[in-house]
Amino acid sequence: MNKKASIQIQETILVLFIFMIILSMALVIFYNVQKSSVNDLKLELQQQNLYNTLITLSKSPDAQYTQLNTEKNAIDTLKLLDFNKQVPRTTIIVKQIHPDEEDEICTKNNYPNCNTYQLTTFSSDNFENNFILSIPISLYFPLEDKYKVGEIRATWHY
Amino acid sequence: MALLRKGQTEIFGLILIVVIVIILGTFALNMYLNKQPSSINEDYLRVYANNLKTAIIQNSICDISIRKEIENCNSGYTQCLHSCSDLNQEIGNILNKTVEKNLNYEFSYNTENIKIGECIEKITSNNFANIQVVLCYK
Repeated sequence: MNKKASIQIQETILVLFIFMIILSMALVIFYNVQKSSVNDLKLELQQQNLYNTLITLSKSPDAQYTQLNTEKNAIDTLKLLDFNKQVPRTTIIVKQIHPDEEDEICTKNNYPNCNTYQLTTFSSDNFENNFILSIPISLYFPLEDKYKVGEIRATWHY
Repeated sequence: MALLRKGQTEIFGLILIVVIVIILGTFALNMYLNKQPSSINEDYLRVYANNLKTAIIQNSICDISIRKEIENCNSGYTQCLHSCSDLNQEIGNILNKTVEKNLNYEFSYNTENIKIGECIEKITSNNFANIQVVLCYK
């Protein structure tokens, strides 16, 4: 009788032990899945943030071309030469795509014989990953009174 | 004999628990993987399409815009380029350089249509003066 009870107790302990192992494994898997889910949400929010930054910057009075107080759906390239804003962990450039132009960063000395306007800079040495978002824009050149095709590109470093 | 049968019942119970845990885990993983897609992609494509259309039709060729030349083609003549097929080529060239490689596009104006790939789930720009851009991910 005692032997029988002792075997039963051992059985119960074994079952509980195995159940605890399974439960621990399930908790570890659940934790990893939640962690990955939180990281995905973080990335999605950053994506949204970058998208908002891109839109806001392209509509900013510091960059947009206006004529007699009317917005002209284009970026004034002359304004970009003096553009100076800081956006954390983000590099933003405006690049002329068509017609082709010299592949150089634009300054007051080489404008308009250049194609890249650096709006913000950020040193990305300590960051391994980049997330890039770009949208086409119309570029206006006031000295020539002409429109050209470009894109505004934002890179978030993380 | 009764003891053996009892042992078998207990082992069977243990196996049942393990199977239930595995099934529940599969359902949970399935729910996790089938999340709702983000709506930011739709907003982004819509802005991309509208901006692309604006950038192209505002682009200057000679002393006029592409939009003006499209209107000229609609009236049967060209002011800057040699022919309307040259205009098609110019627009196609700009689209090829500008649109990201992971996107299919369709640029339509008057009765002309310049496209790369086929779009099923597509985003369409505002329709302005019969000029429209359609985009979708490849």
